[in-house]
Amino acid sequence: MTSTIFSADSWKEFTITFRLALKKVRGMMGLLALLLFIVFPMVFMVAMWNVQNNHQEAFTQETLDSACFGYISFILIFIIPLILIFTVVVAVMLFSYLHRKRSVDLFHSLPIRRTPMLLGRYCAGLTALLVPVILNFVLVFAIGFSYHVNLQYSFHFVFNRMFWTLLMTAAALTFSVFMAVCSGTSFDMVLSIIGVNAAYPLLIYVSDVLASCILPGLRVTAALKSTILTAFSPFAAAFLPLCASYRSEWNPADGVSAGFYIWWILCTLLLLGASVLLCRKRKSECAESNFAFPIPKIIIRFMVTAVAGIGFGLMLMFATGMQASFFIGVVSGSLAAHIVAEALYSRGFQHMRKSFSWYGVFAASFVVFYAVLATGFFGYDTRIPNAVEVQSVSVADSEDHDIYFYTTSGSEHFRKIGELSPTIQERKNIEKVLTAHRAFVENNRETRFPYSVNDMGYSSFTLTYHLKNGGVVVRSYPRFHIQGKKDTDQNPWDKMIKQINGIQEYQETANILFYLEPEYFESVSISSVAKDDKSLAEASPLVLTRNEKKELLEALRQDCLNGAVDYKYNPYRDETNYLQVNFRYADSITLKDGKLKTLLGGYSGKIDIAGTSSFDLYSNATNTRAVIEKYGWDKPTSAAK
Amino acid sequence: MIEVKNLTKKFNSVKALDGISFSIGSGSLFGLVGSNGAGKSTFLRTLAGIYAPDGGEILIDGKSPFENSQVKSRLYFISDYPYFLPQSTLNDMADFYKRIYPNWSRKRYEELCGLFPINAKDKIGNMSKGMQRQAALICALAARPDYLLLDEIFDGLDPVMRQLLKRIVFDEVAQRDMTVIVASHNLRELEDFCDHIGLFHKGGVVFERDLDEMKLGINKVQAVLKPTPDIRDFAPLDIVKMEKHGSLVSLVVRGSKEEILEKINSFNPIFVEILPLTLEEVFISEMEVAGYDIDNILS
Repeated sequence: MTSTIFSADSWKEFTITFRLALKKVRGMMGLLALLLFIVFPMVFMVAMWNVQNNHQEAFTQETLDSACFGYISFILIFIIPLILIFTVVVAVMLFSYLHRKRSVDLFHSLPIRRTPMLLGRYCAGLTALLVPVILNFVLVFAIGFSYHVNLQYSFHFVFNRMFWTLLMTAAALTFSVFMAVCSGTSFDMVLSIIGVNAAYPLLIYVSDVLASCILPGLRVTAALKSTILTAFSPFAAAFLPLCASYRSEWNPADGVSAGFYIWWILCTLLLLGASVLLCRKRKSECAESNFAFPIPKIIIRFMVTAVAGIGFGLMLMFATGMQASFFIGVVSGSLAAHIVAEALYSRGFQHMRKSFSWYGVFAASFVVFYAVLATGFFGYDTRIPNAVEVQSVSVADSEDHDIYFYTTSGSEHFRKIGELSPTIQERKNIEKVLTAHRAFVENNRETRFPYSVNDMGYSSFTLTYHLKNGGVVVRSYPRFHIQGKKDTDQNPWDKMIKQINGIQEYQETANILFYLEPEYFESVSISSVAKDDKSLAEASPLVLTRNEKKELLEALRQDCLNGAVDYKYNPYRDETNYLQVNFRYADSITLKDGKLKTLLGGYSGKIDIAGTSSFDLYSNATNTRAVIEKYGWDKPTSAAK
Repeated sequence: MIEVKNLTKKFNSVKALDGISFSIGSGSLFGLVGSNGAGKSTFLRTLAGIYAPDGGEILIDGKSPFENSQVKSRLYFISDYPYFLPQSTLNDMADFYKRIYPNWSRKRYEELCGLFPINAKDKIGNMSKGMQRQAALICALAARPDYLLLDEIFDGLDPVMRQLLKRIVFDEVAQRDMTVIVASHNLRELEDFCDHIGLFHKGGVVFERDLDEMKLGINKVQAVLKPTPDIRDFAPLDIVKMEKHGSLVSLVVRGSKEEILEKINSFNPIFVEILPLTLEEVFISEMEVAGYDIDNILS
């Protein structure tokens, strides 16, 4: 008997699957669209109406633009988790057929090959998730347009956020599909999605912290925008632009790097390709067993074991300050995590004994990792460039007060355009830095090698060598103030820092005083701090003439260079009676030709200076004290001037 | 035409099918029998293209069904626990299948809905086991496949429904030359349904035969003989099995009826009768000849 041959065309099989799958998830699609509408365009519309009608201050285009971007960034914090939850739900709905023997019997006996079956369902899932997102972003853009938000800028901003949301939704769905194909049950699928997305960033983070606690010169940075931190964790990576928003304020271009976009596009395509390949190789009989392919289980269990072990070890060490607690924490935390992960994946303890061979893999990896770091990571601890190779050295001291410069005009309202970054460029000064650094490194080798795990502290001192060949060498050390030691020479960290801080070029680039012009601040207030009274005596702001400001600045600069003025915490200063000078920076400063304008790349718009503006004057600050006495600023009556 | 050549299917280290080879002709009603775990369902799933063979090959009209939508569009598999889309009615399932199976017939679907006492608008999930099988059968027959694979299809069907199913399938085979392969652990169920039988045991096919051929060459004789002869006295008849209850002798004998009667009559029987063998009895005799413990196989 001859039958009409069902189309061999994969496209036909794909479209059939796509339509059937879309029909299955259309309810979820409608629900997502509705929830997004309530949380996003509706709230945005109410918020914008409120800005336009109930704003207390003078209403400007800048107020409106700023509010628009602020609200969108804020609302996205709620939207992203909502979309990610729907992503997992849709993935489970569409791909749980792989996890039940009865449904596999049905779907794998149908005249539809596995590739079009998977792709049809994947595209239906993508449609169900992306269409509501696009619709709601379009609505938001339309609302912004109706409120006369800066069109060019708002389109860029909304499109940027929408593209990222769509990309990360696609990445998260693809990742979920990959896990669905690898897993034998939907429970294992969801467990694996959560496992990888939580364990991978944590593993990178705790490994980084551990390395920083062992290896001198290496220090973890909370690099929220780091590609590596979330490279295999789309659910965590989806939040990065939001973190970027709040780190860099309202700059839409500064969401995430182009490399990050490229990585996630490539990663999504790779995951999809791998899912198709594995789906074709997947044995139907794997349904209802733990895993169709065991690799994810092995990797996830390893990551969870490592995260729990290292994380618990570090927590115990930070809590007790004892190195032994770290190793007790590593063993107990990793063992507990391994047993829990194995029990969850195997639904019991029957394979536990066999699984300990994989615990051995973790133990061996940990020992190797620790040993490599303890022995200086192949010379990382002593690697310092030669003076002839170095173009400049940037110095970052976490105990320095951060000074930032923001724009205050036009569409670039409140964009950070620069910050104080102490830099040493003169050859003789570079050599001084290298000498101090080398002495510190040699001291480390003599007294601490092989290195062991230690609390990395809260403060750090970072030297960044910019090499002539374009390379960069960064070494960052914790700042420890050893109690009871009154001399910096007794503390190798502070000895090095003191030597570098003493370089005039460093002081002139690190201290805001050397960038200020008389027009950049409106007033100063001078108060005295007494030994037994930590609170500052009340002082009224002094409004000075241009010449008085100039004279004060010059005196302060000279005293700073003489080491008589502190603009940051100094643990070795034992004088307890001193004067404190506070500057009030002017609003919307127009930059004059000078050092600050050069630092900001010749910026011609108006700026604000944000950051600490106080300076402690000690008894040897003779220049400044002389100016204060000359004008009688230390007498109460002068405040009326 | 289905050809099975040295087919092997393993689940981890367990061989569910161990190098089996046989063929099934078009338009036949082929019964697969065997105890639980014999490999019947695994064979059907491999034939349906659900499982990929680990060794050997299985061909439908010369083509492998695995990942072959052309072949699969001509076959329909009803598993031992048929799956339906969640919350679906029979009409929903019909709507689902009509997009997928090219030979789907709406007219046949409506005819079948009239034949089976089932409400096409009720949710299948709420139906009894037997009703669910009827729903699966309606969909299967409306898809008008060339190969219908049925796994334990009679489970849960009442006698009336079983007869109705058999009649409908006979009609389809007669009209469309459809090939039906049905797996069951119950030999009696297949006796009046199949024309070929394959016996599976521990992943192997013990044998596969035409049912009529099997029945023709073997007879069951009941006779009252005084005095009761010994089994050696029946030579040269090929006695497969002999039982004595007083003067009543029951024999399973290989050979023609005439030959057997001539020998029995030589003992001047008080009563003699040649009875038809049930399929189970034929199997028992064949299996014992082959050296298998049939009670163990069919238990």
